[in-house]
Amino acid sequence: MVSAAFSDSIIRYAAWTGLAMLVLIVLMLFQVARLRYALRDRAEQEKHFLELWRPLLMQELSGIRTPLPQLKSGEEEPFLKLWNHLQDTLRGPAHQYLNDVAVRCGMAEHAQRLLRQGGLRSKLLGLATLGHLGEHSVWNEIVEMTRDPDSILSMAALGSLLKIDAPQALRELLPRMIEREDWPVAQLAILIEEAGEHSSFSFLMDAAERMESASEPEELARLRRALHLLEVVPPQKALPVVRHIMKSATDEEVLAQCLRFLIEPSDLPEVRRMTEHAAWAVRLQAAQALSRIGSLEDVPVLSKLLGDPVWWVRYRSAQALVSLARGDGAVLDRIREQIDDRLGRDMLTMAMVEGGKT
Amino acid sequence: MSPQTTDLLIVIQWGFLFYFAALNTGYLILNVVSFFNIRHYMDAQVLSELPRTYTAFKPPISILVPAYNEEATITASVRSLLQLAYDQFEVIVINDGSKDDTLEALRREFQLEPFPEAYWVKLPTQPVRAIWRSRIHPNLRVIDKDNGGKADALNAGINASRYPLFCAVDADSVLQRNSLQLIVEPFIEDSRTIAAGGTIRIVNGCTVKEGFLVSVGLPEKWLPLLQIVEYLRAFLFGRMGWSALNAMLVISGAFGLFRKTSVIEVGGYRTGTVGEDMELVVRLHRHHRKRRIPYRIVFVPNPICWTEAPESLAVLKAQRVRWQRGLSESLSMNMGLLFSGNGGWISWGAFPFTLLFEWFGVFVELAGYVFMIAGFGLGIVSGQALFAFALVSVALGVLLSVSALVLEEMSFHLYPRYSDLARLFLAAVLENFGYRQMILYWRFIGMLRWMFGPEGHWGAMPRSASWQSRL
Repeated sequence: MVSAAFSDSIIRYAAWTGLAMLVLIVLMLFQVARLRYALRDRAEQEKHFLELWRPLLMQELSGIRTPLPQLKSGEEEPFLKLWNHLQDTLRGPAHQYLNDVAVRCGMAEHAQRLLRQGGLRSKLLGLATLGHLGEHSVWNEIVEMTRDPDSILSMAALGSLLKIDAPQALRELLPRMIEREDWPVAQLAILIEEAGEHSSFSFLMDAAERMESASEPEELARLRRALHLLEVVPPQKALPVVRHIMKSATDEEVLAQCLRFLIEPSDLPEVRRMTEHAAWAVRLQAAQALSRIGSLEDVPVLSKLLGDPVWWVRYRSAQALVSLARGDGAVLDRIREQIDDRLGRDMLTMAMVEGGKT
Repeated sequence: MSPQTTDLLIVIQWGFLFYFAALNTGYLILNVVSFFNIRHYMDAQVLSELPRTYTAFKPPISILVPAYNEEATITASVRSLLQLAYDQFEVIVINDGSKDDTLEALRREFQLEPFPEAYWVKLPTQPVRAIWRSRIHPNLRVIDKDNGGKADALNAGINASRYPLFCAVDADSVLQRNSLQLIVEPFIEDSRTIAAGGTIRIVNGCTVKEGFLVSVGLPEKWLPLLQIVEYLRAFLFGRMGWSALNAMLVISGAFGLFRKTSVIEVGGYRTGTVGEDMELVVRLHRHHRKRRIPYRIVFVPNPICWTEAPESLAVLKAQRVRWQRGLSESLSMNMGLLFSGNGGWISWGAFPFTLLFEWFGVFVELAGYVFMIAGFGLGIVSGQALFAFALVSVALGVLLSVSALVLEEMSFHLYPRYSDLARLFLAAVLENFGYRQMILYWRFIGMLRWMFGPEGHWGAMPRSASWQSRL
């Protein structure tokens, strides 16, 4: 029958398209089966590998040097995964024992090859390995990788450099750490902490101090990031820098961040002044600072903050009052009776229940 | 046949062909984007497997559980939520005026006592009757409020929440212990992230113990099996593809994490809709695009939430009708996003694609079926033409499902046995013979209900919870 609605050429085209799709389906099914087979194969291979190598590495970790078998083709990745896992888990001289094993197995060269030839997965594994090995010879290559737009790769490169030589990495890369907004500050702080390099504190403090006069939006963004990073520094050490920044800071976020560092009663006058600040984030941090360093003298200031238009300021002020009263329900009841504002009273009641003070 | 009729048929023919070509080009692009994105994601996982601790910097999360007549399952759900592996979180159950003993069950199980909450109305809701807190789990609170629908309940939960991120969870969602750890990652990695959703998988056929999934399996029944194939397609190349372009339009109401300030800024969940989850995400896009605020809405491909699929036709029909209504509401309420100047991929890609192929596509596809069948009956479509187009249609359906299976094998390969793969493939073929047409018809009904029906309400779905009996 001839179709009036569709020309013969379109019908032929449709039929061929359908057949081509069927061929594609078959090919994809083969791919699914191949992937599944490879997965099983890999899992089996990894199982055998671990059965052989885990005890060997454990022996090495206890300081007993034994002849190591040659790694078979395809065993490099499971080896490096196990090796890096142990490096991240263990402390002390174990690192050196493991490094020795990696060198004997030719993994230092292999990791460098991964860095140059592999895809993302290989590069990440190579970076982690070279970091633990402290392989200085690839420094420049890894520094180049910190410029990569892929934040996962560039962060991994940074982590590797911090392990190889933390002071040098911080000296060279701190500006980039503050600059690159796609590098999460929280993870940067962890990397710095993990590096365990106390000289980093001075780099961080210098960097923050240099930005104290920031006023342009980009400069302020950098200062905020620097202050976030400064949180890895013990507060006592960071205090002089923070106080210095606070003196000239006008940005509310910067002020709020600075208030988080204050832990000494000598800062009380500044903190009390900040409870009057126009920005609620600053008032909130001031209330929290009072809970840390304030005294019962601050009850009137905090009681006033209980009438703040912002819920969170009221809540933190109520918590601060509970904290300053040190669990004395009678004191808190007296404070509550003196509060005229109903919202403030309700907030204090809630904070008292939360703190188990009723 | 008159020349006018022939001309008309030619126009129709080219219309269908153009539609078909555009649809498949779109799917092809999504597939390719998903392929590269999932490969990048899986490659990046190699370091995640190493023991690292970001715990000190994980932002605290408020988990919101709206509940309406959930007496039978609510305590088990809350118990499992309280066991999630995460440093700092609170669970807020919102009893939305249940007619059964949902509140009483919670009071008994968790020793609730009245709590003098200084309740802050950031978003208007139906009146809150009381707020309770657990004596044994201080991080569990229950809001008892007048009935106002799921969106209203979630808004009340947002009002009572303390933390910067909130996680909306269905009362019957089955999570993994590390679900929060996985879904919070985009927020830690990028401060621009305002929302994240994970892959939702179907729990039918799996084994669940004490509220957590312990082993993955396929259901015996065909209806949920067919839905598993649908979910694989929707999540692994639908959302994965759009997410890579920051153009994902949906985060499932079953499990999604949001930045609270961003949601409050857009006015919270919209009440009176049945697709409040999608509508919120679309509105978040619109708001941020319009004001040129940098943002990200992210899809986390890890399977972090499991939900029960309907096992009866009646329940499935109700669900799909509701989904289509939700889709219609979400798109129609945010038409400003379509081809907007600063809209990027969302305005020029995802929104028009969804509008044309998932929303208006219902009419086109239905018209296509009617045209082909009626045309064959009337003798204007030949048997060869009918066969050729049916072949293309079925082959394309199977091809898309099989490509989702490839992505699944590349990534999480959750279904362990070869027989599972064989059954999934069989389902991918069989769904083209009746199931897809049935779903299309229900979507059509959903469109009609949206156009002519009353306002939506709680989409309560009767559950068989057969997996729960395998404790």
